[in-house]
Amino acid sequence: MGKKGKKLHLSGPAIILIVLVVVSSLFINSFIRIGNINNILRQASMLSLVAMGQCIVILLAGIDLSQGSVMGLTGVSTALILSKGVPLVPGIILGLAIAMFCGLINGYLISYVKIPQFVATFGMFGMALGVALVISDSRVIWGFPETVRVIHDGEILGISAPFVIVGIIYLIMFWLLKFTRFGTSIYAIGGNATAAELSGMPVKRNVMLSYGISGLLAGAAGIMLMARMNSARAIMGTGYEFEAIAAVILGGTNRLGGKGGAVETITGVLILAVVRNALNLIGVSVYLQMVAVGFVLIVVYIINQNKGSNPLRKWFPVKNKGLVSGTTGNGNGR
Amino acid sequence: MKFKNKLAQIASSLRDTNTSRALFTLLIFFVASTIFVNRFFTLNNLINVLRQSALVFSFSIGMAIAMLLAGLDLSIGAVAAYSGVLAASLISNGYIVLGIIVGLLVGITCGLISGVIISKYKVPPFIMTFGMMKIASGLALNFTKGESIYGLSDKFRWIGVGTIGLIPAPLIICTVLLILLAYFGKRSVLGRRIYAVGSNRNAARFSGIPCERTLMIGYALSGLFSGIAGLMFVARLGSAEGIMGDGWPLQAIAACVLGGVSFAGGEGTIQGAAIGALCVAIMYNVLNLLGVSPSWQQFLIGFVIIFVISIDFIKSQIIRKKNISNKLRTMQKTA
Repeated sequence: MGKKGKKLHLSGPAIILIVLVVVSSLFINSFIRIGNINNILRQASMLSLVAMGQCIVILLAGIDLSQGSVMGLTGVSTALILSKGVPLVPGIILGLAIAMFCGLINGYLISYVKIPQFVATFGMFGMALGVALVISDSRVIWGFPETVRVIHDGEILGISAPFVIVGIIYLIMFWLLKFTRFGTSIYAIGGNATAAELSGMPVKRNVMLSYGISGLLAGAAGIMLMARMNSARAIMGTGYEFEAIAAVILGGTNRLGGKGGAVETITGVLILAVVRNALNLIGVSVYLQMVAVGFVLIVVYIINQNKGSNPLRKWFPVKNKGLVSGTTGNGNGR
Repeated sequence: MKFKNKLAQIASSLRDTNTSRALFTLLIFFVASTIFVNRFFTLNNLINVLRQSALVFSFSIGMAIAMLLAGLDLSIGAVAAYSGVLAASLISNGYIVLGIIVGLLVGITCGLISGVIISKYKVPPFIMTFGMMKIASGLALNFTKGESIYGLSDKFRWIGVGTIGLIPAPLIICTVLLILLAYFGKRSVLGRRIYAVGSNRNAARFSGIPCERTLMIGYALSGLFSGIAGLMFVARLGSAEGIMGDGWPLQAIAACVLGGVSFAGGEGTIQGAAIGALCVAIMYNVLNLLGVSPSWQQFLIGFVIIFVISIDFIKSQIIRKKNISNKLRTMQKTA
């Protein structure tokens, strides 16, 4: 997975990831095996898609809480469409269209109606989950053609299909964010929406599109999860949106906009995946893993935020230096 | 004469837009459900609604305080579950008072940790309380190993299921809390500071308000009230589970939003949150009476939240436009 950028200096999260990997492979025997690494990456593939969508939205200083239920909705509706006898490719395209539609509604509500992102996407969370539960009759849907499993179990040139899909999507996103007008405008909007608007960027359209992409990627993750489990449930994606937010933040993308991108996101996803896997291998219970994830999230956020030349500074916050360095009005964090 | 003054005061406080709008919403909910739902307007059902709303209110207090501070507290459900679980395990062994004290202390501690990290380390409330949610619910589930804790004494269960006459005990507890909070929210130094920090933190700092300490105390209070909610819920159910507070943050947000507590901070009241909690309770009650499946309930509640907030926003934008055009007109006149 494309974690190899030409960066001369490593970012904080990348160092954390490397330290984690080194420590785990030193202390856990079964960690550095091809089977296990394959396992980590495979488990991370769904999350990496959702997190990439979340990353774009967070770059806009927004948030998308609807991803988990959009995943469920997409999985369920694709499963229903496929079990009606629609061929694989049109079925998946239809499913992705539904997901993108949900995202675009979010974007429309946020950019044109000016509802706060938190509220719009949270409402969409409820609505998409409700629709998914209703159309699936709250049951597990299975019994669609086996060909779907290709998405998760297939191989292209000896590489598992999920890695290929995730790799391609990350390359596209990397290109989109770094080398297109759209990407530049996203960073600009995240930095200062008013300034972006005044300099003639189509802010409203791009915000709406970004939420559309977020929905689309959530849908792709939903279909991948469906292929993995060979069944679909309305609630199967619930919780992914929070994991995704955690991953994006762990990667060092700034919630208040402006910093971060595809490389940072995949780093964050891998940090989460490695922590989970290492704890699993040691035999820590799922519940304590939750505690660890919460803890790591907060600690890494603090480290990322208080970067300084002095390594000790990372651990101890700089005392309030005055008006400039203290929290400004937007330190409220939404 | 004094009485007249009091009446005038109450009338003027009703004119306070947020609360009056919340009351109006409540009225619509109430009248509509009385007219359209047969079994709604019966004594038993109304008491049921009140009992439910007491619970919703108890866990909405924490969210309301966090929202007044221009943040939010996603950890209320998890903290409630953790303190409820710890308290229940002590109470089922016979230590009622100790259990209650431990439950409240756990709540305060979790809230205080969130508050310290939010204020000292500048971590956004969303991330901090999300992390705290993971930590607390993980600890709670780890403590119970995914099972329920039973065997709570009837003395303790009174605060959840008991009644004085016809009035349920949780309702009395919540009314007392409501009166205290409504009074101290407007009259105490801390209350005023919370409003000031929430509406404009820079301005608050410039006027010499200790912002960090206010934030810390605010989130600690949020944790404390989550602990109280957890205890009440445990007492009502008669058992404690690690997952018991899962849907609470969302319901609490719904209650606060319906009650006119704004996400922007510094706007809204605890009374508003109580009215919002009543609305949420009525909504769930009516949907249950109508036999609506939980899945559609989920959908409808999402829809209602979006609807209420969009009306709110569109209205505020119209007002802002009016203000701007008025200003322009006066400027033109003076020019």
